Amino acid sequence: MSESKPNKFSRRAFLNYAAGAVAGGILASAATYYLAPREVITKTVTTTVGTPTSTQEAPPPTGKTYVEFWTELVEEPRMEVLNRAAEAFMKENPDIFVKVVPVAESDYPAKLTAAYIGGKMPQVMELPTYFAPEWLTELDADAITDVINEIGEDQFVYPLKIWQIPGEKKWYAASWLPWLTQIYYRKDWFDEVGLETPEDVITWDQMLNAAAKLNKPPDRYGVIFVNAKEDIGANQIYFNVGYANGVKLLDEDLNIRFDDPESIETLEYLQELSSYTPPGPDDSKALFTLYPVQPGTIGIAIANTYMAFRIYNTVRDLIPKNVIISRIKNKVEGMFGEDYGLAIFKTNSTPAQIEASKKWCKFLLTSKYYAELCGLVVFGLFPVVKSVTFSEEYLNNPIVRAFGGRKAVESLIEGFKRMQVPAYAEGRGIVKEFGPPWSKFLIAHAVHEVCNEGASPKETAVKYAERMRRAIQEMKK
Amino acid sequence: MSFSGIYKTTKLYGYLFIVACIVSILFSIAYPYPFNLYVSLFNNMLRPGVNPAFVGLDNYVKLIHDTDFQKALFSSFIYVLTTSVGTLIIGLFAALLFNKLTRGKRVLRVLILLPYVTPLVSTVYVWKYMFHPVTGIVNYVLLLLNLIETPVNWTMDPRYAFTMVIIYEIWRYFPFSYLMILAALQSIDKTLYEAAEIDGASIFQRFIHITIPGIWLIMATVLLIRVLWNFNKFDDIYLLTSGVVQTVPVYAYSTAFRAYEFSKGASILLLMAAITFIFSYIYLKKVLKW
Repeated sequence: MSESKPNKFSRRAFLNYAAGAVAGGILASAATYYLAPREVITKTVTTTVGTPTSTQEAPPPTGKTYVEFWTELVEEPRMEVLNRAAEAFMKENPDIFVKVVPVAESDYPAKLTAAYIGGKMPQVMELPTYFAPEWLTELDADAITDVINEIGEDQFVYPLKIWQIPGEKKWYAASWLPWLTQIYYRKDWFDEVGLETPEDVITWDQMLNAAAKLNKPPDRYGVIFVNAKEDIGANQIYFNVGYANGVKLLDEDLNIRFDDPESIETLEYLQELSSYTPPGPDDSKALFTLYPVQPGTIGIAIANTYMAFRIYNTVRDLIPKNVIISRIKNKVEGMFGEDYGLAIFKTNSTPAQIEASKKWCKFLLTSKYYAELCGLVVFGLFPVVKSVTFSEEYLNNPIVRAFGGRKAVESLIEGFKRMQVPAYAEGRGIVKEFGPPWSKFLIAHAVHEVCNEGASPKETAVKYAERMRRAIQEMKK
Repeated sequence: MSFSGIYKTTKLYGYLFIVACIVSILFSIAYPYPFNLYVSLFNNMLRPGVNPAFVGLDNYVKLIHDTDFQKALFSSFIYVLTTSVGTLIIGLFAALLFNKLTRGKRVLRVLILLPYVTPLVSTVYVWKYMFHPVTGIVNYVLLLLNLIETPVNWTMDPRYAFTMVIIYEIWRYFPFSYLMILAALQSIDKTLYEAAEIDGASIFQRFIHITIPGIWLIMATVLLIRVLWNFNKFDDIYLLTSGVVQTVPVYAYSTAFRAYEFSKGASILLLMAAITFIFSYIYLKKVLKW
């Protein structure tokens, strides 16, 4: 009887090989970490953890000045235009490499903080005014001022005072993509119930009266506005309607005025209006999806310039039945808006990068890609440089034409000229004191409580005013 | 003992296999934990243009008196208790039922596992659409059956959102408990049941004296895992309710990344880690008797 060959690959052999592979893997990883150049490791770590990824995955070519541009325009069509703009810019400037990085707006605080801690701040960023107070010390005002001066301050469609450093002819950022509050209402429904149909200005009483008459739940609701607890729209709605009542979050001495009579009246108004809204808190998603439908469930939407293109793209039949108003009035006429400025960060930038960033900012503001980008989201992204705003390409955009063409554009410009921004204090510019009430959503919480929990507007105003004062004191410690 | 003798023992292989796991765990906590501790001992840390100030344990003292944190902690406690016990009980029922079935096992297995294997974002958004106050099918059906008078905003209204996240959590994660318990059930010797039946034991007595002792270790382990996971749960809650439900992890996120209070956020997270560690230690010693 012949002996069978011994099994060479026994359990012991397998365990030996496996143990060897594990030990070898650990040694190889450790060696890679300690022996590889630091630059490579940092790049690898920061692109996988914490900082955002880019659509341009290849590392920047050596010998070129690197400019990282963060944009909150994460949607694919918008990124496509920006990437083409970057390619065109790089062709004109072969010594500069621009990386366009999409960052969702809601991720701004986390991502920018991670970048700050990691020493990987972008060179250029779209910076909304509500986000700016925390980062003013990191901005290169001289650099962006050079850009504005090169283009010409008078070439902007509205005065740039929002971003201006008080007492100086300098700016923190250049206006890039502002938006404005707008009221959208169903003219056909207004006519049905015999309501007057304002064209230029709508008053508090008109809105409340119309909401009450149109409200027929569950088929139809009178009005919709954002009043969800942790939604930035709930921060904004207070100013959307409150500016028409003369509210101020901060006075000239930067004291909180959230418990002033005008503020309490605004909360009372919002509470009354909320009885004609869809059930429960409404967030920004609800606002922008429930109004632009046919036959529709909402009579009035307190929205902003981002609504127009949605109506055009999803329910064009609604356009002739819809009226857009950019001015609200109660005691005064008020216009709330927001500006996403182009800001240059000096934190991790070399002088060469600052110069390259200036060129990139000027290109963004004056090239044909600006008109193309704004044409994707008509009125939501509004071009602020005259040569682009009144260009054939922009004015002939089908959505611009559908909503009134040049007349609509000029009406919006008038609105932007009167625009009020809560982060801006007259005579003081953008102030840090605005940061805590906004970033902690204290305004949104107050709006949520009065609209959804039936809280007393006066008590809520007093309670949250106190919280705001404490938050500002904590910040200053 | 010679080197080859040591080498021959399987204990060495065991250590070698887990060393990679231990190294990666140490690597992921060796820096973050001490750094978090450092940040928590200062005020105004990590904020541009602001000088941090050393405050020692002041952040922890303030945290204990913070009413919002107390509410978040209470919410977390209720959430963890209800979801952990809920997933365990429903998983147990599902496993017992499945164990008894003779037909349709394949289809039922797929249906049971579906919530667990479907990507989180998909399930969250389906739920949000189903429970939408204006266009959702749930409100439509409930109104049709006259079970509610007016539509309800189930995921955004604080009165209902908390219940919603609990139901969602149980629905999504009971399959995990089911899988673990089923495996344990199938390892119980069938002859024990036969012998008990012959001796006249009722179904309930067999469940208490045979089934439970056979699976209690797995159930206890699953409960520990679920408690630890649910206490640290952020994504499900935040995605479903957009921050309306504030458990401790959601509160920590809002504090650190929205309000820029990184020091306070760091102290919340370290406190969470301490609670988790103490609970795990007591549970392992007293319940699992490790």
